[in-house]
Amino acid sequence: MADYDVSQGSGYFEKQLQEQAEQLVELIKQGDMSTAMLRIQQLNELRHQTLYHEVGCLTRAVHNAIISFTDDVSSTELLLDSKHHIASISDASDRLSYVIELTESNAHTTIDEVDESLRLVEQLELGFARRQLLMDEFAKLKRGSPELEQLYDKAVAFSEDHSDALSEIKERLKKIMVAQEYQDITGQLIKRVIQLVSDIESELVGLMEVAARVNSLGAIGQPSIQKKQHSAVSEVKAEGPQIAGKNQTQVASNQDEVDDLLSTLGF
Amino acid sequence: MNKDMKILVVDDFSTMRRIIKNLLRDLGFTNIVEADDGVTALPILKSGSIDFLVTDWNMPKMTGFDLLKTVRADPELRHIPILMVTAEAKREQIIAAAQAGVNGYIIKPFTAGVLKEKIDKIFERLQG
Repeated sequence: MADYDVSQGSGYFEKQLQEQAEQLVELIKQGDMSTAMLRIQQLNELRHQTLYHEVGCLTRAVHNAIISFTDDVSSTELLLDSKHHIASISDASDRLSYVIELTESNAHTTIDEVDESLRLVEQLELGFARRQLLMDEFAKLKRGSPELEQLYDKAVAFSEDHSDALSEIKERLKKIMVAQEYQDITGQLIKRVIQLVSDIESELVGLMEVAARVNSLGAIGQPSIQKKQHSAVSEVKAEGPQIAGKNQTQVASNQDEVDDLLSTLGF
Repeated sequence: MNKDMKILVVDDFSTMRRIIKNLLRDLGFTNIVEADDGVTALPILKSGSIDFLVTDWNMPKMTGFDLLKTVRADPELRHIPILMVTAEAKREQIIAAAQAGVNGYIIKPFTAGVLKEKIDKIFERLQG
């Protein structure tokens, strides 16, 4: 689809209106009513065309926003949701913000629990280490005493070595903690969706402004719609987390690829 | 590597700051301060005494990439080693960060092992 320039369209319409109005006055002076009526009809058609172009541009902007949204999130359910609940868009943003808050506070709760569990495991480790020292002293004492030898054997039977299990529990707890990074990644994606929702909202306000102009002929002046700057970005910008399967060739899908890329750059 | 070095962790998500801080503590680093974006990080950096900067990329107000460029352009700060820990995974972004003078680049989600490996590597290179 060719990019239709809204401002040029309106300017063109104004120019036509001026020219044709002069001709119209001339025609009426001359008494050529049928041609005058034809001019009025032509002007009316032109006005509609201009309007359609504006509406078309806005609709396309909304459409593009939705497309890039589905590209990013590929959730048709969410898409339908945003279409059906245009009236409650800010409410939708609030709800998404709430998701970020909720996952953040729950991730912190999880890390709190992990911290406390790690502290307890370390206490246990300390206890086992102290017991081991005691057993070593005991082993020195028992020599030459059959009764102590017997007691020592009993004690050994009761003092299983849990250090491997404890260090594994610690590793697993740390993994649980690191896994909470999902909150950052999902949060970044949700923030982008919130931005999209607010973009759609402002495009829709523009659409409503155009609709309002339909009712007032005199209102067709400079369009207040600012063409969104899809500037071909030369600067590197933050894009948020990448979704698996998207832009595969431009995106490093794991740390190894990052390392390979950096090593080719001498890192 | 000096375990007492002062590390600044910059990320807008408090969860991520906490995770990185805990992992650093686990590696023996206890002298850690935090900031939630480039704007709040800069005064901390300028107050001196920061030995190592760990930063996210995508943050409001001032991104980690801008922070990286600002630090590298400041004669007082340019020597500070910088590790990026970010979800930004586009090749052009990684290349841009490398060209801007980043010392290490980790993409989220990451593991404790990767963090340790990259920090070791950064300080090996600096000492070597």
